[in-house]
Amino acid sequence: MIGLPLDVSIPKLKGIRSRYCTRWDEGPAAVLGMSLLHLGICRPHDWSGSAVDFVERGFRRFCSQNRVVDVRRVWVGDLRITDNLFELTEQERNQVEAGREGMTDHLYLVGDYEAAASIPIGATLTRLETEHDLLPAAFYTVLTSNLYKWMRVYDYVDAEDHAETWMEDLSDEESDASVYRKVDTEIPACIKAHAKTLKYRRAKKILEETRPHTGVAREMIRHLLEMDAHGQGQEHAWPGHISDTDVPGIDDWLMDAENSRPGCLITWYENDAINACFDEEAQHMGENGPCQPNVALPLHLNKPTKKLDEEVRRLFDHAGAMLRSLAAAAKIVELVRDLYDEYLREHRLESGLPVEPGAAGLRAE
Amino acid sequence: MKHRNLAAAARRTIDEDTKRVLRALKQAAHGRVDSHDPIMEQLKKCPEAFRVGEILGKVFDSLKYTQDGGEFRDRYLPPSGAVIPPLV
Repeated sequence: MIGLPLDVSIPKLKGIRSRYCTRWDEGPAAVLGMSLLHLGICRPHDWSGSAVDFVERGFRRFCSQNRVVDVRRVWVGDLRITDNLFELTEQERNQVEAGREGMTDHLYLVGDYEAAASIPIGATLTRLETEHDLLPAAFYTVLTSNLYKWMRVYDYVDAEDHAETWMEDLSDEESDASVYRKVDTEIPACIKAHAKTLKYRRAKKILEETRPHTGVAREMIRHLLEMDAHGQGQEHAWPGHISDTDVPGIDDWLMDAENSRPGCLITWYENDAINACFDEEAQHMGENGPCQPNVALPLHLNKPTKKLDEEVRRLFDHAGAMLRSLAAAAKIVELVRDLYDEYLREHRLESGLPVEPGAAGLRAE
Repeated sequence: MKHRNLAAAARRTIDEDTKRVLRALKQAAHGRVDSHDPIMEQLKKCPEAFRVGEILGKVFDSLKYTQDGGEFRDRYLPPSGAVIPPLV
């Protein structure tokens, strides 16, 4: 919109913040900000007059130091510090805040993914099998164990559950013709034979002891062991781990909420039976209530300074480990996708493009 | 000797900065407005900026929420009578 020239000018304020917050946000952010300043995560020069802004600047720098840029290459989502586990519109939020007496004494570290990152791992497993019989299963076990620390993983096990449920209502003929039957038949032999029996410790030992001949296999194992090292000592912070005594009302909320949306989808190749089952489930995710976030760690603000600092340190250690671990995982996923692309080129298919039904297919539908 | 003095002075400044920010955070934690908010200081010197900000805030609020069950496209229109000066 272009207006007529008027004798009005807008004064320019230097160093103006891009965000302003209500006092409900400022209070808890100030308590957290003091701890972050003690811990060196926030610095005095981050202060612009707003506690929320102060915390945000420190948190952004922290994420950047922990390789969030690498994580973003594969995962789309957010890791945020918030005072509410629920997803609220701005109007709902204003209502909640208006009804609240005093300042909230809880904040949460919440991590969630907007989409499931595609990991078509079939070609990678074939490549790893040329190095060692057990290497594909060992790789798969350690990779999924580590991904599970930070997200819900959708893989062939979830697809098997989904297929089993839907096949109950099908006749034998329908079942044989359905995609559900393929979930089982498409599982590569190297996974079927070992993945469910190979325990994490043994799998990790195989990775450490194998000396691959190819550069790509070496690189993948190196990144996976790095990912594993970053995640050591950390457990998945599911919202279900928060007790009702810690956060009153959480049990009711969890009862109404749906399972978390997966942060990744591990298929053998794109558009396979696992992919089909995932698509079916994804259509109904969030229909019966809000989806739980993938990661939720509570932070109790009403504590003595020293104890609060310790709790904030633990929370940020978890966040840092998550980011560094996922940064290493992102390198693995990129290599997995490269190998899949190579496989597609060899088989004269085009990768990355969703398959659209042709005119004949549309007519048949 | 000179270097040591400079380092000590730098440390003092850092400590003072930290203390100043901690004081401001304590005030914010108790719901008090920080009197040393640099933006508040600038606003005091230039109250017209606050007025302009208030007007723009109202305009943006009316754009954000559809009133009287209006249609989605109405959100992009400014309220009647609003004059938006050219932003340079």
